[in-house]
Amino acid sequence: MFRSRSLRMVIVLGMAFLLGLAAAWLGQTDHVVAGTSQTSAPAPAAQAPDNNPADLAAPDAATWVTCTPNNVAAFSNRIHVRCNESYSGIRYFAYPTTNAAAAARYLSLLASAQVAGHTLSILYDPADSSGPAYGCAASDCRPIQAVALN
Amino acid sequence: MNSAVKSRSPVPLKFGGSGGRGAASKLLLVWLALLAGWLAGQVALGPPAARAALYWFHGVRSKNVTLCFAGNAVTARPERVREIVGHLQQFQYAANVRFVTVDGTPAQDAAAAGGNLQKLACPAPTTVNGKSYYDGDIRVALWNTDVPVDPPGMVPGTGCTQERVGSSWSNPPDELDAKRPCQYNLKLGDDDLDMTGGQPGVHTGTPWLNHTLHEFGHALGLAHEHARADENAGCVNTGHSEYHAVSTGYITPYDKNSVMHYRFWPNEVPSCSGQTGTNYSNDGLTAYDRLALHLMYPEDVRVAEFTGKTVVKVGEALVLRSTLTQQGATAFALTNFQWKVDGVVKSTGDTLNTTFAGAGNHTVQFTYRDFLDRDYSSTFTVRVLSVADFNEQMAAVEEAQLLMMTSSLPTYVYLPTVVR
Repeated sequence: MFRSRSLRMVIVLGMAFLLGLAAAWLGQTDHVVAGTSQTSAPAPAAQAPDNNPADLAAPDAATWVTCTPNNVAAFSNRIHVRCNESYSGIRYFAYPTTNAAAAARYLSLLASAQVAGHTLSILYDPADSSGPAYGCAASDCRPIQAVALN
Repeated sequence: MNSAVKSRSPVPLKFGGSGGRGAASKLLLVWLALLAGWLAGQVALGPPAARAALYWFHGVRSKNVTLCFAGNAVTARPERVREIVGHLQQFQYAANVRFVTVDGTPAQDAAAAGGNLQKLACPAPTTVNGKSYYDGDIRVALWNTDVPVDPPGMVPGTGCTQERVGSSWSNPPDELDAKRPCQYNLKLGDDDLDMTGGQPGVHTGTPWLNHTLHEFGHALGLAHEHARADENAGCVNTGHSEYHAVSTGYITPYDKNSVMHYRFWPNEVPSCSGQTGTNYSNDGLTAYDRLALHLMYPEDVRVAEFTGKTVVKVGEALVLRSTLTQQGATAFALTNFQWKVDGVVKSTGDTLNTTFAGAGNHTVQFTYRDFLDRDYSSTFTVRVLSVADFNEQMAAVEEAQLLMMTSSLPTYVYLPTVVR
C-alpha cells in the first residue's frame, strides 16, 4: 500500500502522535480523573473593603427527619424519643413538660408510633440550644418542633 | 537503522533477541510518538477544565475537618471570619462533619463571643522535602488581608502549583496532599452582587451566605449543579462552558436552587422562573443539598433508614421503603438494596412489599450500599397480628391518643362526656 517502509513508519508515528493528542483531550473531558479547583462565577468586580456588620445568625435550619422510634420516655422535666437513625449525631428528640399540653400531645404520638410500628417525621432545629435546660443534651438531643405519624 | 525496522515482515516481539530488538525499537518509537502527542495535547489544552456534577468524584474528607484562615484574616477581618464560621454550621447540621481548629477546638467555639479567634489563624508553614507544608485541611484566603489572592500569579508557598484565579475557588478533598505547599486551598470572596434585577446588578454590601456554602461545598466534594445534563428548568446559560456537561454522579434530582448552582443573569436564562436559591442568595442549603451531604458524610453508625409501619394485620401488605430514596437519593447514590425476612431475600429494590399468611413476629434485615462503597444495615422486628388483636391494640393506642389530646383542651371547649 505504501511506497516505502519509511513512509509507512512516518504515517504510523503520525497516527500515534494524533492518538496521544486525542488521549490528552479525552483525559480532560473525562469526569472521573483528577481535577482542579473550581471558580465561582460570575465573578463580580472587586469590591471595597468589607466594613459591613457581620451577620452571624444563620437562617432557620429547621428540618424534617425520619425517626424509627426505639425508646419513648417520660421524665419529670421532659419527654423524649430515641430513634434508630441519627442526624449529625442527634438521635434523641425531646420536649419540656413545662408546656404540659404540648408535651402530652407529642408523647401520645411518640408512644403510638412505637407501639403501632410507625415511623415518625420530626421537625427540629439543629441550632436550637435550649434543650440542655431540661436534660436534652446538646451532643445528641434537640427539642421537638413538630411530629407527624407516618 | 537496524534490520528489524527495514523488514517488511512482522517480527515476533522478543525482547532481548536481535529480531525482537527491531520490533521493540519500532514499538518504542510508536510509544514515544504517543507520549509526544499526549504531552503536546497537555500543553495545547492547558489544565483540565473544571468539572461538575453534584458529586465531584474527588472524594470526601474525614469527619473532623481542620479549618484555618490564612495570613492576618483573623485580625484584619475578624467579623468576616466569625460570619463564615457561623455559616458553616449549616454543614454540621446537615451532615456528620465537624469543623475544628488546627488544635482540635470546635471552630464555632473559637469564633464565639469570648472565644479565642486566634485559634482560627493558620499556623506558619514548616518545610518538608524542600517544600512548604501548611497545616489545616481547609485554609481560607479572604479578600483584603495580607495574603495575595488576585490573579495573575501563584498561591504563595514553596512548591505550590496552584494559580490564583477568579474571585473564589476551592480545591477538592482529594487534592489536600498535593496542595499542602500552598498557603491556602480555598479562596473566598465577599461576593454580594444581586443579579436578580438584571445587569449590572446591585452590590448589597453583605456577602451572600450561599456563596460561602458554595465554596465550602466544593471543599467537601460537591460539584456544580448547573453543569448537570438533566437540567430542565432553563436556569443555565446555554453558552456556559459547563452547560449540560455532566451526565453522571447525580446524588439527588436536579435542583435549580442548590447552593452549588450558579446564578445567571436574567437575560441569559429568560425561561428560568421560580429560582430562589443558587450561589448568590441567602437561602442556605436546600433539602437536596442536605440530603447529598448526609449521604456523603454519614453517621458513625451506618443505620439503613426506612419508612413505613412494622406492625400489620394478617393479609395486610407490609410496605417499607428506603427513607433516603423517598427523599430523593438516586440509583447512583444508593445501590445493592436487600430486604431479608427471616433470612430469606424478599426484595432487592428500595421497597419491601410483602404479606404474611399468619400472625407472628418476623425479623427483617435491610441493607444497602452508598456510592462510596459504604454499607448500611438495620435489623428489626415486624409484628403481624390477627385482625382481632390488631384492632384491639390499635384501638387502645387511638384511645390513649384521644384522651391525651382532649385532656389538654381548655375546659370551656365543649366535648361530650364520653370523649372527655
